[in-house]
Amino acid sequence: MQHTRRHALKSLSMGTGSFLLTPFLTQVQLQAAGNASALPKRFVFVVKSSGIVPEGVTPEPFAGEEARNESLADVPLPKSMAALEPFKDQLSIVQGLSGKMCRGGHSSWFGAMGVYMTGGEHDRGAILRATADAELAKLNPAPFNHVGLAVRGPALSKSFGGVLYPGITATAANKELPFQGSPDLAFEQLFGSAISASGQGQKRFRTQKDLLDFMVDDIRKVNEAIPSAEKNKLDAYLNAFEELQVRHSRLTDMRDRIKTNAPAFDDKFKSDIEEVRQEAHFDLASAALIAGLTNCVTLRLDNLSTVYSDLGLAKHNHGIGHNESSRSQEECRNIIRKHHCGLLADMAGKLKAVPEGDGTMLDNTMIIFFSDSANKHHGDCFEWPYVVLGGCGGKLNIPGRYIRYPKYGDSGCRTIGNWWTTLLNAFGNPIEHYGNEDLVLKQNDSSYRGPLNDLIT
Amino acid sequence: MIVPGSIRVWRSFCRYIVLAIALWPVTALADGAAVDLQQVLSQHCSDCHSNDVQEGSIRLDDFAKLDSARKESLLNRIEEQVFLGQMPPRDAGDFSVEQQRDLLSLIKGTFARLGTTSLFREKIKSPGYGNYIDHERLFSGEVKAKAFSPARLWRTSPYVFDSVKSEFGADPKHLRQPYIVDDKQGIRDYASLLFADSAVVDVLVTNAGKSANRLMQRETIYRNIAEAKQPPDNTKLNEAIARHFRRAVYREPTTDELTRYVALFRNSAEDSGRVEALRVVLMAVMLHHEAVYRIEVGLGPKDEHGRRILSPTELAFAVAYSLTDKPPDRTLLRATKEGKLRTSSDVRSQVERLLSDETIHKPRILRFFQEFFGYIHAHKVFKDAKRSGGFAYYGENYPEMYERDADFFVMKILDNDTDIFHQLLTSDKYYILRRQTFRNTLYDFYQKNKDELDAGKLSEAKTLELLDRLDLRSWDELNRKYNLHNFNKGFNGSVRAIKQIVKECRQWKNTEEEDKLLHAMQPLYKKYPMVYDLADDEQDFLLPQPYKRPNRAGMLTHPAWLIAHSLNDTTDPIRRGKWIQERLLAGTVPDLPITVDATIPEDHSKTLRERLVVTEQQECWRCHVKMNPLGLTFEIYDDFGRYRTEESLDRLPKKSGKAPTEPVDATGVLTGTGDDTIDGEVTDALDLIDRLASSDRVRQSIIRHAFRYFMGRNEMLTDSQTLIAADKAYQNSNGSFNAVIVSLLTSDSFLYRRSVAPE
Repeated sequence: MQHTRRHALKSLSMGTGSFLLTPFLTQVQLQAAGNASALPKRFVFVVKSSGIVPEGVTPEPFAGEEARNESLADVPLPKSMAALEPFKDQLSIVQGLSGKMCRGGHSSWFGAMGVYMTGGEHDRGAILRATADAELAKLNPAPFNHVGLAVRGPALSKSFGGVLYPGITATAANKELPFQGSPDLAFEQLFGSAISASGQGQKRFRTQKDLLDFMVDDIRKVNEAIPSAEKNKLDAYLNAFEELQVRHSRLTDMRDRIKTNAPAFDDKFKSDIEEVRQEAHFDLASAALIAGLTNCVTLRLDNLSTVYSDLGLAKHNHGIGHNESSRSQEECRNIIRKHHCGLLADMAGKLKAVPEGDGTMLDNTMIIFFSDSANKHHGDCFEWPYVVLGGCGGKLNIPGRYIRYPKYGDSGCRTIGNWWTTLLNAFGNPIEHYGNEDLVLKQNDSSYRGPLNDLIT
Repeated sequence: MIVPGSIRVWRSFCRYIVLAIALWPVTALADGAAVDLQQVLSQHCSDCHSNDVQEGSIRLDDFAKLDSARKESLLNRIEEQVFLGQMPPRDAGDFSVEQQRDLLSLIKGTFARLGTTSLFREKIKSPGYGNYIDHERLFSGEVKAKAFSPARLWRTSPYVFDSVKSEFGADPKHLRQPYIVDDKQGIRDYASLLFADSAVVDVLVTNAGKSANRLMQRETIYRNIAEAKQPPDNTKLNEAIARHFRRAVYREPTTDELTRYVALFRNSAEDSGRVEALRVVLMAVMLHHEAVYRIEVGLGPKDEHGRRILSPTELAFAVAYSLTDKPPDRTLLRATKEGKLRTSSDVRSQVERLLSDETIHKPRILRFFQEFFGYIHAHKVFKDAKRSGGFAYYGENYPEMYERDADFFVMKILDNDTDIFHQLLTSDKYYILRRQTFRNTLYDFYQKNKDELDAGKLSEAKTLELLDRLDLRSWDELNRKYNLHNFNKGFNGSVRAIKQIVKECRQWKNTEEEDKLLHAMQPLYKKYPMVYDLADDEQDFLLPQPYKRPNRAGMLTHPAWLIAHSLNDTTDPIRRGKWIQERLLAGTVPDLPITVDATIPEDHSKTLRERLVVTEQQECWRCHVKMNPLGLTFEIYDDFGRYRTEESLDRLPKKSGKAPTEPVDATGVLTGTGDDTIDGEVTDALDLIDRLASSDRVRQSIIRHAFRYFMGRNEMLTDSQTLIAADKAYQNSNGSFNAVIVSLLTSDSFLYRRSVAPE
């Protein structure tokens, strides 16, 4: 396709940049009119390391392997998930979906949300396509289309803080989403246009405008001297800065809403303690959603180097996964899960407290909690458990349900490709099938392409 | 073999076109160009594309009733068919070259009056459509026009970014790649296709911020500006800005540029303080358009043909980026300043210097062959490990390592720089180089020089012997040639490093048995040689190599190529045939029509060849005749690249523990070389390759691809003389690829620019 300035401006108003030109007022009007279907849909992907053991998130009455779809209403959750009891009508537990088309082991990397095999032990591997979280972010644009927050970096790395690339989210082929690993910096980046702990954020926000104005002016001048056939290349460059100018202006307009909803800045945002950093990232994510800064957050919750010392665990996740702890792996996992469920419940509570349309913001939100190593410390991907919180915008009939698909290889078994296809289809991307198929299932004529129709309302 | 006549082909096209014309909107009747076009189409196409006869469900007699979208779509289709000479068909009557040109001109005019652009014309700028320019005319010598490239901007290559990012001030680990190029097969870095759009700018801005932050922390000149009590004077600011400008833009800033940056600083500092102001200025420098696009507009004098030669500075960058991933070296820059980079002969001496200097890394040469052959995509084709009997992805990725084997194969042939294309297509000397090969070889070296090494000594002669055995000129080359573990990447040939490897060999193999230490592999690599038709116990791959492999001939039978050109669970005769048709025979295969369901039927009792019979239906065969007879010859290899005489029907029930098999039929037909002594039926891929390797057409086709790679665009007819000269240079030099490079980089196509109107 020819990249012309006309084309670029068209895409600015119709495509990825459209959010920049849509007044925030529109959203308020929709809300006042109770037009719930037109309200933005929000997603939070909470990705933990070391697997989610299926038994750990299965209510006791539903133990076993047989397929089922049951109400959670009268069933007690596992003790470690007790914090989620108040949200049980908007809680879903989805099990039995396989991901054998992905690499197993310590991390499936981009495969976990991209549904393909990639990477090695330390190597994140090739990025074939935008991962499902990024695809969903594109469907629900906002000033920050997709916010990546990470407590830790890649699966086995020791890195934390600053910009991190955990190797789980890609916005396009060969393009990884950067994650902010420092809560204080994330605070500045998200809320700095309106409020700032150090004062630096607002200054930086103002000078950013100087930079963008300078670049636009500079490129316009040069463009006059460029051969006509090549002008579209500098136009593309110019348009990119003009888009940033529009976002800058939009954030300026949103100042009051951002200021109202920004979390209070305290020591939490500068802490070195893993559990506190997690809490800070959750606070940032919740506030960014409520302030309308974004509709999609991917939160890398921990990695294999994380030590939950505040929870009384001495070994890092890797050691726990290899049974090196003095406590049993199950015991450690229960302690950690209890902490994670507390964080999830806190976020759900904040969203539930915000009225939206005829209900609350949680009704239009989907918080998906899962692991990049599927079902175990060394995931074998025979099963990939998902714990989902929120009303899912009414698009899925999973809230309040425990759902388990037939086990791998059995008739009716389904894969994570079907799962992500379901989400994409339900929220507006009509893709026939997202991700790679399982070749073994395919060879046995057991592969199914397409969404899980029974989950879509 | 069914070869449907072109009449049938014409009819099917006609059916399509006639239908389309029926829907042409009435408003278009008022359009002069559309009416003229209608007249020509009615005259030449109505026999097959009218209300009465609608070949291909197309009619062209009612063009005006089409809605604008379908009109545009059909025009693109007509233009492609006419451009390729597919329509009208040759047996439908005379249609001269002049008539073809006139019709194309009418179509172009119709697009213009419709206020739209031709998608087809846009499409043929892409690498996959380079062959749309007629091969015979290109090499006939009849075109005497003076060659040039369009004046252009060329986005920075991702490889250049990787190679220079450590110069930008930030920790290079924290700078992300902004210049993503589609990860497709073939040559990809085309000037006309790559833009710095929002996706690029997002990353550039982040990178610029990181660089600015670190520069202000680490470099005194910037720290002083940020922290001094007094605001900096213009001299200090200019010095600081120019320093970063040289680093990012590779030139001195102009006075006007400095004035503007200083104004930006003063303005921002007033509002937000000096730290933020300096940060913004440093970012603005890094975002300078010349740091993003390389400018090649032709700033030299204009000649009598309306062309401008590249200025010395433009030439210095063009030459440097043709061979290396780095900006011009000192010698090139000196030549620029001394006025010694103005003519073709000046460029020749610089290119020859760069090529002959072994200390200068020239990754672009190997990369041409990686992109041309496409074997570097093997790791993207996932294979089921169980089906292969041990193919590994976990821990070590076999296909990725086969790609490095193929690199080594190419590098060895390039080292000799003789008869290059023939060698690449026919040599059976392969290299099997997984990591254990390197370690075992060092173990062997240790054993042979044990006394000396145990005494902590290693003579220079012995070091040279080891380098020679590993096929290295220096230790700097180690990681370019070998894909070593991270912890071995620092190997420097010292006694300590050698003994460390020996220690690792003993520990990892958990044995003291000399034979195992020398020849055995870790279990991880045990199945690695299977794609070379070697069993687990045939594992003696000590360097130096190569290993001659039977039933193999050159790159097209290398496991990396075969895997890269296969599907997940089968071979891929169609795409392999397409590859040969397009890369070696300079042929064209039209795009798959969107209405075609290109699925090979599932039938577990049939071989793939038998299942492909479905493509011999007349509407398919028109294109498949160009692919299947070439690609099916590679059925002597399975989809893992292993030689076979029987095809396993592995989805049928097993008998006596084994899947039933059918004998492989790998016969095919070679057409299109233009040489009657070569064209004809072939027994298998080895026979096919043997013939291809001696074809003039194949040699010229590879040279056309080299042209595209080094020029960053498809060839035009005006490049005819450049291509003929490169072809002659190859032949006159006994098959030297360096001679091709010198010829291309001193050609008018490389040296001259001319502004062309946008399509």
